[in-house]
Amino acid sequence: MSTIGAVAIGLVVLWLLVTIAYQNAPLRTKLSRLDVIKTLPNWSFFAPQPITRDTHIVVRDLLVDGAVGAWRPASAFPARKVLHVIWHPEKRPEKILRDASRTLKLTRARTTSADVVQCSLAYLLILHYCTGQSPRQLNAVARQFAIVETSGREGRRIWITFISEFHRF
Amino acid sequence: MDYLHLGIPPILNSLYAQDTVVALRATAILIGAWCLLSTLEWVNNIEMFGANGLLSWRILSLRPGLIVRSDVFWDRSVTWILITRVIAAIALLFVPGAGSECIALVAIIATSWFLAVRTWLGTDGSDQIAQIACIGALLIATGVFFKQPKLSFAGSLLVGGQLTLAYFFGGITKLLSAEWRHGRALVGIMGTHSFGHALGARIFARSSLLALILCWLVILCETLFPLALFAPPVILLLTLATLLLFHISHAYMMGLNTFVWAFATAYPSFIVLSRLTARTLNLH
Repeated sequence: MSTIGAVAIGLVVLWLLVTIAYQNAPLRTKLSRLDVIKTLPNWSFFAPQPITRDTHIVVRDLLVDGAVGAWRPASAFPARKVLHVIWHPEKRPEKILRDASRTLKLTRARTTSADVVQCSLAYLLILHYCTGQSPRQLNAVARQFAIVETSGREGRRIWITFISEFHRF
Repeated sequence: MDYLHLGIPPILNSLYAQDTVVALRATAILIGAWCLLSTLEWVNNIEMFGANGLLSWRILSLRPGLIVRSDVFWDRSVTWILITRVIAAIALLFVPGAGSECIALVAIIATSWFLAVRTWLGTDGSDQIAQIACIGALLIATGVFFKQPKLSFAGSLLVGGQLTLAYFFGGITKLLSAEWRHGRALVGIMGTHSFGHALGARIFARSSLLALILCWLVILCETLFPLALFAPPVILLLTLATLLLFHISHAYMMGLNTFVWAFATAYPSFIVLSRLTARTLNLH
């Protein structure tokens, strides 16, 4: 058992050393491929690039007569409440959509093929969310989504960062 | 017992053992509170795991690299996984004893890993530090149960060490960022709806000097945190209390409520490491 203790200390020291290496971005890419059980943490909270934009998903429907409906939001940010100090379940879906949008943008930046983008997991996740969550317009046959980023609260700036194809229901 | 063959006198063994038992109970209670809160938030979002939900297994099962693809394992077991976590959290909160803590911690570690894989992008930094605290606490509890101080020390080293790295690299990465050095980071973050706060946005919009001072305060506190390992007990407790307030302010301003509990789980082990360091080096 004493040997087990010594081995445990050795493994912990190794884990700490690999964690230090993991904070280096180029090494992180290589190490994350080996980290199949997700034991290595990334400790760069809100840095080097802090999150200064909100990510919104908007959708619009293609109607049976060929007309296109107006863009409408499929995601929302509830106003901050004092209750959020202890209870804030809304942060989970917000994070998933934000990270999926970021992953989708990265995928598009790395490939010129629209097929690769449309087959990516992030694209499918957002598309599935948009078709399943937001009610469809009367006579709608297909839906398109877009990722819109905004910054600031008053006089906010807007960037349209991604527009999908129309997808039949 | 000579930890790492550094020449630590045997008397430290008994002193360290006393510290460990107290720290283990405190860690177990904090992990229980974090796990209960985090799991109940997942329960509140249970519809996300449904066929039409954001985390529908029909979509997430398309991921490459999954070792097991069974729908029964990944999809239909979610409810049971969440129930298991609630029971384990309650056990940690109300049932003291290294044996029961080991069982509860194994359950939480396994189900945390399940949720990390199942939800793909759903977990955050609080889940990371809490998972490490759980693994460390499991080592400590196993060491206490089998009377193996080395195993307990490995757990304290893991949790305290990772907490030190978390703050230090959090600070260093901000120090290397022009956005943080020039005070623009907090203005930008507070201006968002996802992580910001209307009051914070108004205050920072009026005073860029305050934003600059706070940015540097965060950078310095996080980067210099490893020095707390060598600090006298009063300074150490003041440092950890300040950091806890820092996380509570994040919960209020940014909605990061689970980070408060997750980081607090690592504080007892850090205190143990600090006391051991002080005794080893004859400080204070």
